[in-house]
Amino acid sequence: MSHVPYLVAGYGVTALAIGAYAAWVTRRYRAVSRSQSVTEASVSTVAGPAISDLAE
Amino acid sequence: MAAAVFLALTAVLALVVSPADVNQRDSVRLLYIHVPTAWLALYLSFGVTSLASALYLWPRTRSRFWDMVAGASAEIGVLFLGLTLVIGSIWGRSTWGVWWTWDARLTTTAVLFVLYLGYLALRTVEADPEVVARRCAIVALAAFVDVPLIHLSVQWWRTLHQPASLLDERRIFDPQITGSMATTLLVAVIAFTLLYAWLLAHRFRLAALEDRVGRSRLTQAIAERHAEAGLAS
Repeated sequence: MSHVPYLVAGYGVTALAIGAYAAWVTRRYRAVSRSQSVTEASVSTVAGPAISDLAE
Repeated sequence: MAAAVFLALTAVLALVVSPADVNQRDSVRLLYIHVPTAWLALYLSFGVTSLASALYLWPRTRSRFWDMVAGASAEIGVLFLGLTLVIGSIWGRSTWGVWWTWDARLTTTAVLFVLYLGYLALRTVEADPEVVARRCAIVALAAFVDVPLIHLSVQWWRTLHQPASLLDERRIFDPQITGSMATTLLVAVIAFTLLYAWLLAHRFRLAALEDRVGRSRLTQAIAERHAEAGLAS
């Protein structure tokens, strides 16, 4: 009996899962970085007192 | 980079250099990904999660840093424990003739997988971050109790799963794997350990950034409400 399909399945699933997860982590980091710069830009344009005043 | 080099070396050693087994023939090559994924998930990822959780619960060392380390490591652990189960199932089909059996080792591992899935679900609950972090830390430590059970399951019960080849404290000076097979397994374990370090660093970096963005959005929302209140009066 050939074991090749099992090896292909085992190594294939492993490579796919690691690759997909690593790609997701790096892509999400870039996306959140971009959204952070947008948020910070809009915070600076909102009128009102300093946030430190609100915390008191 | 080092992780990628070691992973490539593992693939060459596992699929080309190391010999086939007398009984299992080529399916033994699944050993070189099954054992390292189990090592990475059970001992490394969930070990780090438990340590970080304990440090979070300890008042002197309590900080968001440890909570984020615990969460990042647990997520990687769940991914690799899932892989361990899938690879084990494929290996089981080729050697035992079944995809799954309610063997003690397999069952305790599946239970751990579900426990840490629950842990990850708990991390997404919308509540006070301090409360969520504390509850998650307790759950992580409670779930880790299953790890020694998994390790000892092949000694305590008569299981279909084979006993440990390397991490067996009773045969530490008499390993059941030698020569190029042992070298390949060692290289694979190093490769997956390096991969874990890379993934943990990047996942933690993402968690820290998401945390900063969350705080920043909260700040923005407060400022907007304050501005609205100022306009109204």
